[in-house]
Amino acid sequence: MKNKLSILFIVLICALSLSGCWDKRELDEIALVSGLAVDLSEKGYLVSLQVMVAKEIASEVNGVASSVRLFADEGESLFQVIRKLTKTLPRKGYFTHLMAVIIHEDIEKERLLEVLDFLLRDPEIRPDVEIFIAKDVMARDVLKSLTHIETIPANKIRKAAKNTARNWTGIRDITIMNLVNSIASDGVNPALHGVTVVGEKKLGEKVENIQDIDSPTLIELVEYAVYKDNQIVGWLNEYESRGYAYLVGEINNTIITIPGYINNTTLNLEVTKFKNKTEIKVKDGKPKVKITHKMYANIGQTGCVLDLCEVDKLDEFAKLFEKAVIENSRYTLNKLQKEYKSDIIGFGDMIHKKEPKLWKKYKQDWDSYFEELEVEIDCKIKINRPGIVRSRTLKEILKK
Amino acid sequence: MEKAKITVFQFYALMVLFGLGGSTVIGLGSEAKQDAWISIIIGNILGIILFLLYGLIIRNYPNLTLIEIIEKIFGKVIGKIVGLIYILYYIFFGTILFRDIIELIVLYVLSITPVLVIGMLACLVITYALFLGIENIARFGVIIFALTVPLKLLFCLTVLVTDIVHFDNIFPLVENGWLPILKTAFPTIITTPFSQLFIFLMLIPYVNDQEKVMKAGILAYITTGFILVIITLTNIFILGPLFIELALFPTIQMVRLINIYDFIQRVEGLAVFTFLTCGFTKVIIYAYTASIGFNILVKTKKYQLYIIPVVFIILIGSITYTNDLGIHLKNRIDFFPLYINTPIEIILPILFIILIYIKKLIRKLYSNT
Repeated sequence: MKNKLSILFIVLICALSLSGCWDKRELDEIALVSGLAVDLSEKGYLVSLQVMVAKEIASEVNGVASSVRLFADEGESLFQVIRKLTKTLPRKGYFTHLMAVIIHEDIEKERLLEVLDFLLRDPEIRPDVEIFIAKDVMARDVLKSLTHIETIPANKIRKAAKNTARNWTGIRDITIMNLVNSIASDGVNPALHGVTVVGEKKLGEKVENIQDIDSPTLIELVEYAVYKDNQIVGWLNEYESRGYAYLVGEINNTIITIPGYINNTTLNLEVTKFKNKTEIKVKDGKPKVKITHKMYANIGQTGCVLDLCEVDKLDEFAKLFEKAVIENSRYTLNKLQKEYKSDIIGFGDMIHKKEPKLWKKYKQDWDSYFEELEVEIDCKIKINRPGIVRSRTLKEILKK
Repeated sequence: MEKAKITVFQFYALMVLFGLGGSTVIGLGSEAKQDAWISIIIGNILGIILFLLYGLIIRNYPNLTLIEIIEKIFGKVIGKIVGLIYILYYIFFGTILFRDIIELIVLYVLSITPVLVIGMLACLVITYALFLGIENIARFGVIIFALTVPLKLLFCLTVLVTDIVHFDNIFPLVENGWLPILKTAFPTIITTPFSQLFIFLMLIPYVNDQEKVMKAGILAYITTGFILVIITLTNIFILGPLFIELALFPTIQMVRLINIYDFIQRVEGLAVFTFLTCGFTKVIIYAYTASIGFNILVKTKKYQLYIIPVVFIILIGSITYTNDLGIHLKNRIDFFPLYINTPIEIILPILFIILIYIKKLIRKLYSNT
């Protein structure tokens, strides 16, 4: 009997102490943070947290109340403000489900590193949280606009970036880890996705924004911010971003258009497979890069004036696109080399990996060598299919 | 000595768990950057050679634990002193490892709970395991082995099929020459984990099939090395050498990145579990060998007498040892391997072997005359 009692006693002690209740954090005690926006202010930083409202996300009737709330305050440091926000936030912020960090474009140099330091140091924040740069608007405005389809704005930005990377411009999303790796590396400078708000900012905060079929306010991804010495030296426009994607070789699927081909019609190519082959040659002790873009593609849309069934015609087409792609890559490269003087493509890293001995000489001052780096660009396109029509017949029908 | 027997497979499982215990969590050889995996292979080969040397000691004194062997070699007084050094060393490394485990729990699982409470609860479990004896510890080891080793490999595999892999991260191979690689291999990697397995000389007498012990040991070395190389390579492919140097627990950061179509994700809880269980097995083995070591040294009947003092020292030591994690990390790389592990696990065993053979030679000369 005594023995049994002592066992019961031990079981009770274990049940009470081993369950880990000391650290219990129930769902109704934490505020799930989905987005974090950092702006500069007079006091230092203006930090905004976008907190998910679980009730609204789970409710069947959408669009009655917004599914997220924004809490913002100013202070000297990022972490200080996050804690200070408890004055307005009834629950403690919980960061493991953070999806996107929006940083204002003016946060540069040491301040950028300071923000990054917090993101790295906190064990709750994952290294795969994506980072965006707010262009022309305040970072908090981005998190303030309500969105539809994906009701959590931070999630919308993240998914839109993924979607556009997969189907349009290419280039993977930039996570905290990627950013740290590119800042720390001598051979590459970071380029970050920009994000902005289109339309009336005030209207975006209201639920009406997601009730209309044509939302007056939209969060839109813009192209890339080019960094040098942790400072933005310029932005790439859509055409240049495309060239950047070619040079980096991170394209899944995209459309290439040649305007004004015949009679003001366009030629469109749907790229289904893209691969870059990079060679580093050493000439007179200087590195020389040769990039070959290799693509497999289908005809997407034409001005319907050409008979595509002939095999040599497809080759002729391929030549046209090859020229356009090379021109595009060359244009971007020139801009990066001559105007921005920043190697966001990572040629330095390529040389580091393939010619480590040579790299030691260039390591110290890569950015200035990058300006004069000789790069040869080549492109090979193979067109597989002209779509699901018989072009000859289609042409005759349309001529009537 | 406890009257107990463990099977060869249980012995093998314990050795692998011991080898993986601390090292997978902390990440190995980050000083060699992208060549860390080469360092591990070199360390592994050297480790196997060392283990063959340990085999010479066992061959001359079969069915004896290390402490007894030392007494036989050095005689009563010096033997006891050297034996005591070994026991203190077991307790010391148990303490260091226990601190690592607590650090991991505090960071990723229980951030508010006081360190002392976590430590006390963990010690409760360890004490219970120690009271049950080596047979139960070995059976526990097999279960943990079957659970965690496949999981660790699975983590690497799941990350390698996602699109965040950069296989070219391992280039350039041997960037700064072989010196940094060899420097990482010796003393850091050869000592943690490979020559640390010297502790198993305390457990070998318990194995039922003495002939297969050496084979099982070498197999355990190869398995440990293989898993460590795979984990290190995955870390390099995913995180890159720069981020590995930056992260306190790189393997956990790697596992946090597992995300397959937004469906299989956030599995670090599982990863922490595998690291914790391996780590605890290692602490249990340290504490167990220390307890039976005292028992043999003082020649008492029950090793259970020493369990509570040993566990108590480990608990208090791990908390009071240092508050500065930076010093702790620096010690682990710069100080312990060279000044504690190397003399105790490499130099002293070689000295034992030399002494054993000199004694043999003298005995031979005696019997001839």
